[in-house]
Amino acid sequence: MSGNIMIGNYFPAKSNIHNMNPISKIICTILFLLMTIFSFNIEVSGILVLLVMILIMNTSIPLTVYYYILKKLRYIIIIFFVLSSLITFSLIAGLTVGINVVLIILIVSILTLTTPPTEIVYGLEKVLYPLQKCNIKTNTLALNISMALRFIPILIDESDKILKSEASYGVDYHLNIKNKIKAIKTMIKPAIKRTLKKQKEISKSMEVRLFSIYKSRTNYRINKWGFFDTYLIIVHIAILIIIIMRGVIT
Amino acid sequence: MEIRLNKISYIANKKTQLQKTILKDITALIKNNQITVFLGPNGSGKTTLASIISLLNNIDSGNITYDNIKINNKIDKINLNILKPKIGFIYQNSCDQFFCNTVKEEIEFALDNLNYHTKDKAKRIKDSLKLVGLNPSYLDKDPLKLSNGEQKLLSIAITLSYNPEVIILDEPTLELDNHNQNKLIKLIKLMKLRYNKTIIVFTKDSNFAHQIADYIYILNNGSIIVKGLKYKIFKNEKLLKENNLTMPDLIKFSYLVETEKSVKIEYRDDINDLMKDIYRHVR
Repeated sequence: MSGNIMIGNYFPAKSNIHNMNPISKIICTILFLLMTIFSFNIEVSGILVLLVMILIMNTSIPLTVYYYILKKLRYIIIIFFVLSSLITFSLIAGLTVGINVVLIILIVSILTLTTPPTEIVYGLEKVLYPLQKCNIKTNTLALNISMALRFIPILIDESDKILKSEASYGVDYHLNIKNKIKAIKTMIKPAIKRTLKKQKEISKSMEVRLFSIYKSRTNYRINKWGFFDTYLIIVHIAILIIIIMRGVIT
Repeated sequence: MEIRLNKISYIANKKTQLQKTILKDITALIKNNQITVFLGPNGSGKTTLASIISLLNNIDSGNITYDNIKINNKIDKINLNILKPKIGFIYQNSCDQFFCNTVKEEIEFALDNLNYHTKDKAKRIKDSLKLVGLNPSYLDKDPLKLSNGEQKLLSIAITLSYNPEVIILDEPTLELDNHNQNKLIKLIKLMKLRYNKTIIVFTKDSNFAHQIADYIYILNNGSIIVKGLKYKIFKNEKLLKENNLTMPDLIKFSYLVETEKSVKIEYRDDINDLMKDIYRHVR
């Protein structure tokens, strides 16, 4: 109903990133997450910001969509910034962590905005395939990760509905800080409860359509591997190596 | 309370590829102590307009005047605080309204936060449930575990508990069986006649609109197509068809008798009155 664009929602468009193979997109996302782990200073974060901006330009998705996602998750970013500043007694360190959190949100958003959920499951299954040697059920794991991503917009939607309902009873989130705290405090438990209820309904809906993780499934999309897939993975690996080497040298 | 809508517009997903104008230049007058019905098919913008009038959504242009208080596209905290306790909104999907663990807590939340002062809160809560036909045994139940019909009745009880001047109902008959629909019609008429409430109903059910409306606005594709008294609107078969609406059954009967048999029978709200007219003609 709200029509909001959220992390976890697919945004159809024609772009280089949209046309990429889901396997290469997931590998690039994992490589980028590794880069954020190894980025200990603000210069490296700056390089990652540049990389993310280039990727965003290649998605053909309006910048307002990304801005809206960051706006919705701004409190998480602020919490990470404040906590890391307090723990390290350094504003620069806090800022680095804050920037890294923003970058993680953006890179996951790029993945989910440019890849339909079924393709994410397909990509995860293929990427996690080597884990089957360790007796891990990768198709279940892939489905669980994909469903977790899918439930972020549902959780945010339910939270929005509850905040609106509270507003109709005089507890308006937008009015003042006292109302904000009261609204969020009252919202958390019912939002999770309603999201879990929706999860059960979605599971039943999948069952009715004869979905089963124990049966082999085919993929109706033809996922070709192109030059851009290889090129982007090489770029990510190169940047990761540079970041690690820089960390080792300094 | 009288409400004036002046050229209201609302756009969803602004500045994105999914941008869509939901409401365009809506102008309407909702008179005090009257039942105004906004009738429209699916996707006409009824729910969006309902949430705007109940101050849950901001407008993009235009303004709304509630008696002497004007609200435009800027967030006016002072006036919102004054108006919120005076407006009650009953959701289309009742379960969207609930967030407490028990029915009692749901009603208490509204009474506490809208500063509704009462000497006996517990009695007020029980009376609200009684008004909609729910007994006190519902007080300790989880609202999300009630049936759809019970949830709808509960959402009406919560709204009535803090005695708002304006009651806005969005598709109120959606989850109700015939018995509860008839009860709701009687309750709406009681609210208007005995308690002088201003009632606004958003629906696509022509039969329901016919039974309660004093004044009708037909909404389609985000605009007001036509407005008027109910008989004038419901007799216009072509207009209803163009807007994917059906003629109410009682009106249709009288209309067909007049057009196909050239016998003029009065247009009635109640089937008993219609039967008396037919009996008089037959005699």
